[in-house]
Amino acid sequence: MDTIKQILSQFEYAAHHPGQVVREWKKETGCKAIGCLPIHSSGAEELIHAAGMLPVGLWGGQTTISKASEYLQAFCCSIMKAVMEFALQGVYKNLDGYISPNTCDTMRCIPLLLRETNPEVPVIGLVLPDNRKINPGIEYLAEEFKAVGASLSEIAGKEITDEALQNSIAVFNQHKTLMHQFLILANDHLDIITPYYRHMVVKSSFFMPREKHSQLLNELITALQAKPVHQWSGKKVVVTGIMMEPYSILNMLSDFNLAVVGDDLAQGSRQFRNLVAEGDEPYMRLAQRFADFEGCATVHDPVKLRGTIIKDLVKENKADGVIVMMMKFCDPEEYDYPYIKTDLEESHIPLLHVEIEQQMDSVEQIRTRLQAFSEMLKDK
Amino acid sequence: MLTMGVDIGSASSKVVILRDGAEILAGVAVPVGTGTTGPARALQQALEIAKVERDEISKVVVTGYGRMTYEGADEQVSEITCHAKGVHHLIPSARTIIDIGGQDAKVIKLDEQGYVSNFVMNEKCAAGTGRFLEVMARVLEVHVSELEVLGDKANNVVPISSTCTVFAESEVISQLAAGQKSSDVVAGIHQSVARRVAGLAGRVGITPTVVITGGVAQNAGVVKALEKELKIPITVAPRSQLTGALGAALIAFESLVKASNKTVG
Repeated sequence: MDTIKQILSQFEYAAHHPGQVVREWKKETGCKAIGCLPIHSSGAEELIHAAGMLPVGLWGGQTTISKASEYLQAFCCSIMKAVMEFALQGVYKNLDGYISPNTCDTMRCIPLLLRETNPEVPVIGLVLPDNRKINPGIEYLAEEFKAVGASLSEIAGKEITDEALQNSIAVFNQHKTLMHQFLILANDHLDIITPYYRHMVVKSSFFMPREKHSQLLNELITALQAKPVHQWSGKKVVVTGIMMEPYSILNMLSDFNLAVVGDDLAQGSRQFRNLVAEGDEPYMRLAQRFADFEGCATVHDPVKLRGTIIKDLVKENKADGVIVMMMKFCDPEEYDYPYIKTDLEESHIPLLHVEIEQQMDSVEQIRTRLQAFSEMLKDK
Repeated sequence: MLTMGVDIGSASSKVVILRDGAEILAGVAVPVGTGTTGPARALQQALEIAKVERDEISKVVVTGYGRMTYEGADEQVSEITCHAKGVHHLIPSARTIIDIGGQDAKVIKLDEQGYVSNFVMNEKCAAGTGRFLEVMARVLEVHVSELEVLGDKANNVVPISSTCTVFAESEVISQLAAGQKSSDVVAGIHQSVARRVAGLAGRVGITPTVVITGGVAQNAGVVKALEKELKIPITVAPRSQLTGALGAALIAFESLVKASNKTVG
């Protein structure tokens, strides 16, 4: 197996076996692991790292929903239903706590449900401010991060020093920089970094220790740089939405010769595109990052920059079109869609809206949509 | 040169045999779709009508829900592209296509060259499709083809939900139990389909000329209800069930012409 394949298979293994990754890490280090719910656990992740624990992304998965229906209504998204189902089935039994941000209406009740159903595992609510850009909002969030840090210290049995937190911020910033570098480089090797492998690299970062992920990214970047640039003959797309699963959709993109050259996914570039700015006060630095962050349906944005961000991605990466992966029942994303649609249509950028759910038994309708979109781009 | 388009839907199988990308030698629709004997029967009947052998056909393009599993074609193309091609060939002024099939409803926008510029499809729900009409026809104890005539006799429109086929079925039963005339209920059923499809159409926008295709286009009651909802005249495509298969046959012809030009060049 060549070096690139070998590295990619390590990312793939982690993306497919998060439970195993956590078990191995706990065995090796003797330290604890904390589950981080979507979308805005950034900041808390640095705190978990500074307390010597492993942050583990909890973005649901493909399972059959049964017990979760007792707690969540039919109109809740499939990600949160899967998270609750996994929690109730004991899939998260190796986790020593949860970080649960108030990302959306459904997620506001998740801390209560997790406490009710798993009383032995501590749940730390992270209440993010709507008024995130004004000084009181930033100061509030810095205090909120301190409170979250105190709860995490209690679980870890270890104090989070400012020095440790500054170091963790540096580790995460370095990882984000490498992710950004990889995603740009991937566009020169679209024959190797298919939509599926692109997703594997991104997804594995939610489970692997950041240092390990950065090390593998470095190796992958070096190996890719040694290869000649591949001239992609198919069409190129930018994807936006919460996530791009089930996996079958990723393979369909390849079937129709569509390459992903940029993303604005919540489980993707939205996690990496903002570094924590330099500064002396680590909690204020984390709070400032949330204030500076743009282009997510779940954070207050009165000027609606997301359409512009996506248009820039199209331009920078010479994409032929945009695919909106609309997570069913995700109200914030649905509210953003008309703005994105208008922005892209005004710029004559072809756009495809695809409704997805994590628990999809049949993806044939999506196949027809993707195929028709690829045929439409070919005719342009 | 002969080409063939095969459109295997969820409810019917259609075949068109075309000579030189212009003359339709045969167009057949068999009312059973993917996973049945429909595709083979439609193919056989089309060959008999056209009086040609399978070997004489230079290229076959398959489309529709059953396109992925059909083994008798040289290429498979999505039904959206095929409907666009077929309708543009028949009605070059068409800018919006509303296609209502057995379990899909689609609205396709075309540019001046007849290429797809945007499209929307219904989500995983039978409301607003042919299946919805079939379910309602069963409750009313009539054949789906009789709905049009029945709806024509309506004096009133009994509102029927357009969100869910199962709920709508219960509503129809309740309305009949409450003594509503079946013709008035049928008018409500047609309105329900029209409202659902109009909602879909609103997402891409409606530009004239609007053309309707698919099996449901043969029900003038639905077409009238849709015209009322969209406030725009709608042209029913000639042999509306066959436009997808026709488009597939045209795509087969064009690809052969393109390949031969390349060879000559």
